[in-house]
Amino acid sequence: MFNNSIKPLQKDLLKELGNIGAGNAATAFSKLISNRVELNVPEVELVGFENAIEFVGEDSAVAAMYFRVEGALPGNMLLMLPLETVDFILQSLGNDETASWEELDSYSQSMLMEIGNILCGAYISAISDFTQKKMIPSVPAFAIDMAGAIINIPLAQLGDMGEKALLIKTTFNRDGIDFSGNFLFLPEPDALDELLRHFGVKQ
Amino acid sequence: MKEVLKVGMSEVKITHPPTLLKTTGLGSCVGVCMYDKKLKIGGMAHVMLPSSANTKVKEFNVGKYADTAIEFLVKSLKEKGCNDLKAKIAGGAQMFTFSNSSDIMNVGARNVKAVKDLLAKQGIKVISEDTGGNKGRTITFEIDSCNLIVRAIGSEEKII
Repeated sequence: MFNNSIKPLQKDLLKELGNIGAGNAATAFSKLISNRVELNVPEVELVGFENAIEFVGEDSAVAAMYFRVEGALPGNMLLMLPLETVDFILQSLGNDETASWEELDSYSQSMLMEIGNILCGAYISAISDFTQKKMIPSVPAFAIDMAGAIINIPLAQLGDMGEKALLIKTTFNRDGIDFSGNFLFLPEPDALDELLRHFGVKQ
Repeated sequence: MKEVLKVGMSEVKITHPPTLLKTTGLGSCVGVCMYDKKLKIGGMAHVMLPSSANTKVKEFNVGKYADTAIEFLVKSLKEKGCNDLKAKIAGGAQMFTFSNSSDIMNVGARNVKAVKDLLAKQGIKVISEDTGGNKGRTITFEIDSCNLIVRAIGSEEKII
């Protein structure tokens, strides 16, 4: 079960994980789209379920890729991209100026999921390398929907374990333009214990 | 502009007109509205999971589970003198499909079933519902008219 608070030192560690994971993913993303993708400072919060929907952006529409993470640091991973970003990816990688999320064929969807795979794979492998803990992401699931509804799925998974979820959110931007895509990593309580023990910042 | 009382995930709230009850981001979660048309009192729960039997914690928000949420709504509304309770429900979508569809992926359908079974057990009729499918919903309940307004991305607003 998650405690009521996380100490500043623990928060710093989790922020660093968000930085390392998303940093590696941003490098991969920069290469893919030949654009500079920059990270914003990660946010780490223990969020009560009642506030979780606000934390991720209520009913704003996003394209989301969801991964279960198994192994020594179990949890859930979400990549949420605003729809303008989806259009940008489809247009720049698919070489089709008119491509849009509104007409997503199976080819475009596979392309998006593959990008999600690469980015989340980069995020998870960076954390795994840093912590020397095995992490195995599932195949991604894809949906375009309200950010608040998307977050239901990983939270339902954590629902029996406590009243709060630990959310590590890293947003990124492209060439200074707000890209506002975000990575959310939701480690399970066991994963948090394991991390804190590993780094010697146990409560 | 009417006052809107927001119901967060795992919360339950009860009010009366002109205040509206609203919950955003119902994915696999189910929004349960319960009301007494004559007394004009209504409540809304944002249910995350079907049963509190599996909980690993002693204290939790009553709105989190279908069983505890419905029990709380019935008890609180009856205490306020309601004796003709009806319900409207929305949510319980399956937004993600995995090839190896595990239990957690079907949590939406399990939530809807639990809510309906429990309401039936309490003898509360479900007047209307907008459940299942693969889209998230945002709902607003107007106690005065008993209208439940359902919004989803890519479709017209519905009143049920």
